[in-house]
Amino acid sequence: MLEKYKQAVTVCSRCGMCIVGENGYICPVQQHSGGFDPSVARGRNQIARAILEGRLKYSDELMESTFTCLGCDNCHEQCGRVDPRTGEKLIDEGKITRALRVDLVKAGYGPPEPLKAVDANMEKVHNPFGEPEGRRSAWAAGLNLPVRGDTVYFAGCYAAYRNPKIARATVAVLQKGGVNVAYLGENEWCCGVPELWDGNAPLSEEVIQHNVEALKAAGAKRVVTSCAGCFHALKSDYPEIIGKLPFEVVHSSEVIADLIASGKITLDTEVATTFTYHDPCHLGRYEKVYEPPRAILKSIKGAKFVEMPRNKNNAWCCGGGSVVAVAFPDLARDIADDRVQEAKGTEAEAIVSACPLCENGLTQSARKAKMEVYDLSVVVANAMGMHV
Amino acid sequence: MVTMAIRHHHLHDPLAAIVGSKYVADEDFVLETYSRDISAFPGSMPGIIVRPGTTEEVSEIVKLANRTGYPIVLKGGGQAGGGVTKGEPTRNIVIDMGRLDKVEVDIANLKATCGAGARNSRIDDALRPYGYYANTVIGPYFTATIGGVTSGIAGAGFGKNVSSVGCNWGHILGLKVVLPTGDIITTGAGPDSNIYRKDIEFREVTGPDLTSLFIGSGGALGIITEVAIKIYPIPKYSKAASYVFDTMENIWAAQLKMAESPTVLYTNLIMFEMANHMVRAMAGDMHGYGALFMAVEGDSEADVDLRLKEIEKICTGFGATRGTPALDHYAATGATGTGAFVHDVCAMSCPFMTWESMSTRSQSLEYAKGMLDILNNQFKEENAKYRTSGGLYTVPIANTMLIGITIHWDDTVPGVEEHNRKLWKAGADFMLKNGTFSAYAQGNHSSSISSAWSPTYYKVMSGIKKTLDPNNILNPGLWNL
Repeated sequence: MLEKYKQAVTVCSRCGMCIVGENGYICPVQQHSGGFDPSVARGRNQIARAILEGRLKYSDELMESTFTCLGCDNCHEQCGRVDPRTGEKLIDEGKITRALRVDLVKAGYGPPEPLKAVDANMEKVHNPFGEPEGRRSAWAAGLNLPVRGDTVYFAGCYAAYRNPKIARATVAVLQKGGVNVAYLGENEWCCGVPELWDGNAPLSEEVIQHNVEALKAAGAKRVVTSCAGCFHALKSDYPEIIGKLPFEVVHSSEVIADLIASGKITLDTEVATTFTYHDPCHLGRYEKVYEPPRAILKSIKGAKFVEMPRNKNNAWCCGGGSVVAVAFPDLARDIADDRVQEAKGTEAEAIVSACPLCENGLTQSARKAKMEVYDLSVVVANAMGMHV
Repeated sequence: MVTMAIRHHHLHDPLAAIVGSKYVADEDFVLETYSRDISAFPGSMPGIIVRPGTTEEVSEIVKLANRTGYPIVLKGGGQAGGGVTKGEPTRNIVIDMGRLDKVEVDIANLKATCGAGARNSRIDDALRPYGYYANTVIGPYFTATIGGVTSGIAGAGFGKNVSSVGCNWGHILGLKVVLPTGDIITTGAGPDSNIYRKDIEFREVTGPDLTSLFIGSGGALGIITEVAIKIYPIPKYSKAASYVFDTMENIWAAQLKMAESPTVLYTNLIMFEMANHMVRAMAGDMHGYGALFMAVEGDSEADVDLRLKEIEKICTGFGATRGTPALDHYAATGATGTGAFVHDVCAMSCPFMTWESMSTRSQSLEYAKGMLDILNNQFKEENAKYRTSGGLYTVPIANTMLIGITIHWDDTVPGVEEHNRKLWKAGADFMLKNGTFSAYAQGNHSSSISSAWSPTYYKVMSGIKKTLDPNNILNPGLWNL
């Protein structure tokens, strides 16, 4: 699979813009590991090139190093290597890393042990946690959601199994705004992000095929998700892997911002809190959705909004991306600590994110720092006077 | 898959005892990433990499190297284009200086003390809130480290105000250096040159200027771990301009005329041929021979405007027209400001090799034509075959003219690197004979420069090297020493 990116790794000029940028150091993993060049894009590209040219062999150590990448895309964001004719970036480091992981696994190296358990769970019950399939729709109990409709809410595994409040809040807000929401129930499988990143290409394709068929069968014209990882996978990875989709994919923050702008909902229950917003990598850098979550937070009555120094395209990752939280939990926690400390350095009392995975990772660090972390949909529901 | 116990380099554990095992690496895939710079020069595979966090750790590593006989090679930001220092391939201990990145600002004494691994942009980041800046490098602004620039570039590199204030060596107060024996010395009236001083104070009152010995040495004589630099208030007013010229002769005449002006007209003045990769990257294909980019700074807007008016008079007098907004933007962010744009352009231009040298002002035009003849005529057909191109740039610095040609290529063309090395050698030979080769104090550049040293000069340098580095531990072979 790496062969597909031969041109990209060859044109990497080893300049090092993936190390330091306008907002300081770029790679969270480099800052929390030994800091050697394989942590950053220029190093990984050299490694990939050496493999493709037959000068370097796979090893367990290389596998482990490759799997520490968060896929946060900050190196890709900063990379100055563009096609001068089109202005398009020539080196997509996330895709190169994923391809390297696929080839490593094919060659018998990896994935790291915790991810093998994730794969086994995925094959068996179609979620990374190993939770019973029958529990997937428990979050929707009592909501009487239809299983067919134009707008289908894709909850994702974190909201379905770990923080059902997010799913319930999202649906409640959308319904209040007049959106008729359907869901897939137990027919929803994991979006495939873990497999896309853990080198298990065949399983990721199987999952993607299933979800697309399920969404088609549900009559979806628009798929709404409150998970940044699911959003990027559905919106960009799915069509790249299996072709054009017969439905639109949007993030719940985009829909909610539109509902506010059109006056269909108002956030008029006072929330006297100072919020800051953590940009999820898969919503921000990958899909360029920066403004809707901010517009929402700024429209809450009584609330104040402040930015962290590293925001939008320069945001620091929560530490949980590309299954690093599963494979290397200590590394993920250290990076989450960074982000929480950055938030603590502002006058914010609470961090809001628009991704259940980010919320989960940041919450543990925030407890130590005596800060609160909320998902955007829950904050919105509260600001509408709803308690989910 | 059979998992085998990892067999480490036998210096792994002793080095780990100094810096912690997290900061030592000897795996093949890590070594690969430290084997090359951005040039087409051949790489040199390290034996082991270590990332120390303090000067004392660097000292202990050097002492270990002396005890065991393993050579040391240094790595800063890694965007140099002179070829990595060869040392002894597969045996070198490569010291990555990146963790020594602290910047301490001392506004009262107008200085910043920077760890050698501090990136230039990070130094400005630390100074900006106080309203100050330092002379570092114009590009690569984010990647290059102050230690790498001070040690590995002639004259310690040049910053965004080089045309008015000269190369960086003149803005350095002193250095903390680990000598090849592991001893630590502080220059610049620091504690080693004046027993009553606790810190680096005044470079010019120390007797013989030991600081200069280490600047541009490439690390052959010592490892710079800290650089104390002067800082300056950010000027109140700054404007930029660009002018496009039709002929090489006109652009030359204009820049020499401006450089001769008894009133300092600009803080920086850079000339690029339109053929230069950097110009194409920022502005696309343009008509004309080349453009002058300038930054003008002052304490009042009227003062700045007066200088710009004089510049306009000179440039239009030689037939120039005002540059496009894109070119002005380059002047604003590249010739002054943060240097960020130059960094972008540098990244776009990589990989590259450079012919960079100094010429006297009066001979500079003929000298530049001689260099261009090699690029455009002598190697015309081969350059076309390998998709190699180049472009001229100049910067007036003090009494001289810095003249450079960056060579760019398509790395995917088979055989291109060998061709580029041949091309580069032809230019290097020309520069050695006709000007003063002035670029990277590293790898192939240093070998080429020192090949032109006189026997007496070589004897002196060799004596200094032997005195300081009796075991030839630091960067062996650098400068052919």
